[in-house]
Amino acid sequence: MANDPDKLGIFVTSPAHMKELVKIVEALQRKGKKAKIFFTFKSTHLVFHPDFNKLKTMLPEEDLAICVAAFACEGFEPEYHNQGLTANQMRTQAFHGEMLEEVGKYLVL
Amino acid sequence: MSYKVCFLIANRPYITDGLRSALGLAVENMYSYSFIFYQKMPAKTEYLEENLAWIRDMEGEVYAVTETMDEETKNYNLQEWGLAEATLDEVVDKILECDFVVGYGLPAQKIQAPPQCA
Amino acid sequence: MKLLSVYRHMASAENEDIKKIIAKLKEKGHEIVEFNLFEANSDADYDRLVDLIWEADKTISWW
Repeated sequence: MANDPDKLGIFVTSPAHMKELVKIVEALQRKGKKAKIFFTFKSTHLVFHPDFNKLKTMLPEEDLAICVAAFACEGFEPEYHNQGLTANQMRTQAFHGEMLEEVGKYLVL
Repeated sequence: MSYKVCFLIANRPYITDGLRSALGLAVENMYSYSFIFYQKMPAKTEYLEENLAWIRDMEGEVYAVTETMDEETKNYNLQEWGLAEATLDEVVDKILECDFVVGYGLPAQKIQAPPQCA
Repeated sequence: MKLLSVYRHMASAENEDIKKIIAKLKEKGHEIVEFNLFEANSDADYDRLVDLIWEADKTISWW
C-alpha cells in the first residue's frame, strides 16, 4: 500500500481518551485529512462508548479496526459483542503494521 | 519497508500486551524495541517468555530502563527475566533512531499495582 | 529534527524522567514542541494539534 501523506494513523492504547480521539478525527476532517485507527488491549472496551458509533460513521470500513485477540482476552465474545464491526474490522496486530506502512503521520493515544 | 519502532511502557498491567504488540510488528519484519520503565515484569509464563524470545529472534530487544527502577525491580528484571539494560540516554538514542515511537498504555500508577493484577 | 511531544495525562507532563528525556533531546540540538492533550478542549486546540503533527518530523505521545 502506498504511503498516503494526508492520512494520520492513530494507535489507541488508552481506554481513557475517546473524547480526544473523536475531536482529533473531526479536526482532520475539517482540514481535508484522513484517519486510520486501530484499537488494542483495554481500548477495545471503547466499542461500548456512546461516541463509538459516531466515530464508525466518520471513517470508511477499512480505516477502523480493533484487535480481536485483545477483545477476546478482555472477556468479550467477538461474535456477540462486536457492536456492528465487520469481520474486516476485527483484526490482528498485523493491522497496526499495515497502518504504519500506509500513513503519512502517526499518533498514539 | 523495515521500519524501526520503539515501545515505551510505564504501567505494569500494560507490559504483557505491549510486548505482544511489539512482537506483532516484529513478525511484520519491523525492528521492534521495547523499554520498560519503573515496573517489575509480570510473573514468568511460557507465553511471555516465548514472546520475548521471538522478539529477539527477529532482531528486536526488550530493555529495562534501570535508572527508573528500585533495586529489587531492577534485579528481578535483569536477573530473572534477562532483560537488556538501558539508560535514559539510550532511550533518547532509540527515540531518534526509530521511525515510530509508541507511548503504550497509561502512565505509571502512583501506587504499584496490587498483586492481584500480576 | 523537529519533535512533537504530546502529553495525554498531566502525570506525564509532570514526569521527571520524561523531562530528562526532553532535555537530552534538546541538548542534541533537536527542536521540541510540546502539546498538553489533557488540557485540549476547543476545536481550535485540536486544529492546532493536527497542524503540529504535520509540522513535526516525529510525534511522541506520552502515556
